Amino acid sequence: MKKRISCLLLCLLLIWSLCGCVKTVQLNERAIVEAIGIDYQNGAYVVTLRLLDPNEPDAEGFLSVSEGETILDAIDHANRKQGREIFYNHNNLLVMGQQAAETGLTYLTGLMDAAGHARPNTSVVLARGKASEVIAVSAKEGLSAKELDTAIENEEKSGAVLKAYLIDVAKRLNDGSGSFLLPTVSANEDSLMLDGAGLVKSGKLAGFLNTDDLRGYLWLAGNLEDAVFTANDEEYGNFTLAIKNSKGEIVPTLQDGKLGFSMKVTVKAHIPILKNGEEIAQDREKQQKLMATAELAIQNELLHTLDLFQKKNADVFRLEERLSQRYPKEQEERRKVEGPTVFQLPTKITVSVHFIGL
Amino acid sequence: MKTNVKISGSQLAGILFLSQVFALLNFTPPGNNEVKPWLVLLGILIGFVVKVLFFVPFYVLLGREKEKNLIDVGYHAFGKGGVIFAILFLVYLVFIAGVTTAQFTSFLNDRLFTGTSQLIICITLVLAALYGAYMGIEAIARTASIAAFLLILSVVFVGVAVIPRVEVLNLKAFLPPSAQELWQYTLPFISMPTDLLLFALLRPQMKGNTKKSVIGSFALTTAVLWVSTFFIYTVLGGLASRVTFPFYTLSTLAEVSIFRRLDSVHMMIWVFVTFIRLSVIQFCIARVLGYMLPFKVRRSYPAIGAALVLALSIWFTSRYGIFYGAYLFQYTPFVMVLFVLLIPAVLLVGQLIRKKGKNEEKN
Repeated sequence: MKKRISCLLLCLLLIWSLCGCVKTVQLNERAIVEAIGIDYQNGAYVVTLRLLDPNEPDAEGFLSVSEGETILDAIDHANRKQGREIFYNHNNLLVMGQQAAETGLTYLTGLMDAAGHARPNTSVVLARGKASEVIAVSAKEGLSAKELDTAIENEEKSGAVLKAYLIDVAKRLNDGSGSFLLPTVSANEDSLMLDGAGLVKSGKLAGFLNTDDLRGYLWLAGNLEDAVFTANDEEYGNFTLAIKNSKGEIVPTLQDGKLGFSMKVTVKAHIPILKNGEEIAQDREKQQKLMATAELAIQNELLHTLDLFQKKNADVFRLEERLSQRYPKEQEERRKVEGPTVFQLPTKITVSVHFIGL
Repeated sequence: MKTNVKISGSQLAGILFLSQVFALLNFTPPGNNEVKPWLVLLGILIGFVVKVLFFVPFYVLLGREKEKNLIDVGYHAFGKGGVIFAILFLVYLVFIAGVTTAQFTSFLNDRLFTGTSQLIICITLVLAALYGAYMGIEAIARTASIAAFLLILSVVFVGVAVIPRVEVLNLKAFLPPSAQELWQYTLPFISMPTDLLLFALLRPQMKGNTKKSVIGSFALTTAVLWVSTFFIYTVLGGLASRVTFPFYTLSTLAEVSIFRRLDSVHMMIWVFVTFIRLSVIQFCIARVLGYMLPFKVRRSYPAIGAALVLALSIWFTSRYGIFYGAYLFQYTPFVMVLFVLLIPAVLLVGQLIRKKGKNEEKN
C-alpha cells in the first residue's frame, strides 16, 4: 500500500513539471523573424528584421529597424522596440550589407553561438549596397526568405550564383586563410537580382566577382547542373553548351621534389546546335573541334579566375591546406623557405568535355 | 525497488552503451590549440583496446561470481573494511549523477529552451530517474533497449544526412604521433569508467555471458563515437573545437528531403538517454546505500540517493565554475587509476590473501 502511495505521489510530482518550465507566449504575442539584414553606417550597426505577422501569415510582414554598437546590441534594441517577443528560430536568411561586410564578418560566428539568433543552416547573402534595401524589396514584392533561398539554390546549379550557409561562413572564418565566396544580391526599385559573388579575405569583403568569374570558380569547386555555357569558335562562331553536369578536382602533386597541383574539370554536355541551326550529332570531326574549343574556353575562364584570386592573394580553394594534408613534410619545408606563393606553384589544368546525345 | 530480477547480457550491454555514449552529447574533441582529427579518431580506437584490458581484472573478480558485485567481493576479502569500497562507489556515483544532471540541464538551458528554470529541470530529471530506479533494473533495461535503438537510428540519420557536407580536407594530414600525443588523445576515452563500474555493481542482476555483453557494449560505444567524431570533424572542421555542443550543431544540419529541422527530435532521444543513465546510476546508488544504512529503511534507499544527487546537481547548476571543474575532473586519470586499476588490484590481492589463509587453515 505504502509503495502504491509513494508511486502515486511521485507521478503527481512529475505532473507538476508538465506545465513547462518557460513562460507561455501566445502566437499573437510573438514576432517571427523571417530574415535579418545587417548594415554598418556612421559607426553603428543597423539591423533590419523582416517580421511575419502571425495573424496574417500570407501578408508581406513588417520591418523593424534598430541600431547598436555591435550586432547583438542592435538585435537587443530590436527586442526592446517590439511589443512582442521576437522569435528567431524560423529565420531563413541573413543579408550582409556591403559596408558591414567590408568592416568584417567575424561576428557572424558569434551570432550562431548566441542562443538562437541564427541557426547554422541559415542562408547568408551579401548585398551589393544596403542589406535593408534587399529586405525591403523582398517584403514589398512578397518574396519570402524561403523563396529567395530556393532561388539561390537553383541558380547555384546553373553557375550564376553560389549558396552559402552560416555554418560554412563560420568554418571558413575559423580557417587559417579565411578566404571564401558569398552569393551577392542587388536590389533595384522593385526587383532583386542574384549575380556573382563577394570575395571575403581575412574575414572582410575584398571585392566582387561577376558571373563569369564565379563560373571559373564553380568549374572547380562546384557541381554545375543544367547550366549553359557559350563559347566562340573561329570557324563556326558562337555555340552554346547545355551542361548536364560538371565536376572539378584539385589534387596536390609532387614531381621532382617540387610541389604543384593537378586541376581537372570534367564536363558532360549536350551536343550543341550551331548558330546557323546546323546539327552536328552525326559529324564526329566537327564535334571534336567544338569540344576542343569548349575545353580551351573553360580553361581560359578557369585561369582568369585563378589569376584573380592570385592578385587578391585569396586562397579560396584551400590550396595550402591541400598541400599540408597530402605532403605535410614538403609543405612545411616550403613554408620555411618562403618560396613562391601557392598560386605560383606548377599547376596542370586538364579540361575534358564529353558530348552526350540529344 | 525490485532487486531480485535478472536481466540478459544484451540488456546489460544496452545499459552500459547508453551510460557511456552520453559523453557524446557534450563531446568536445581534445586538442584546443591545434586540432588533429586523425589522432582523435585513433584515440577512440586505442581507447577501445585499453578498455578491454581494463575489463580483465573485473572479469577475473566477477566473471564467475554470479551473485556478487564488487562491494560484496570487498566485504568478502576485507570483512567490515569492505565499507570503504561502498563509500568510494557512493561518492563516485553521486558525483557522476550530479554532473550528468547539471550537464544536461545546462545543455537544455543553453541550446534548446533558453530561459528555463534550471532548478525545475534538475528536479524533473532526478524525479523521473527516481521513478526509474523504483521500477527496477528490468524496467530500466527494457527502456534502454528502445532508447539504444532510437539513438543508433538517430546517429545513422544524422550521418547520412550530412554526407553531402563532408570535406575530407578537414581531416588534415596524418602524422605519426608521439607517445605523449597518443596518451593525450586516448585519455578522454578511457578516463571515465562509468560503464565498468556499473557492470561491477550490476553483476548479480545479470545472467548470460559477461564477457560478450561488456565487450559488445564497448564495441558499440566505440563505433558510435568513431562515426560521430568522423562526421563532426569532416563537416564542422576546425569549428568542432569551438562550438559547445558539436554533435548538436551537426544534428541541426541534418536534413533529408522533407525531413528538416529535426534537431529537437534528436534531442528528445538524448533526454531518453539521460533518463536511462540517471536511472541506472540512481538504482546503483540505492544498492550501495544498502551497505551503509539500516535494512528497515530499505524502501527509502532510492529516495535518499535521489536527494543526494539533486542537492549536488542544484549546487553545480548554481556555481558554474565549480561545475566546470567537476566536469573536467571526471576526465582526469585520477578516477580511472582509483577505480579501474587500484581498487581491482587491492581486491585481487585481498582475495588471494584470503584464499591463502583458508588453504593454510585447511592444511
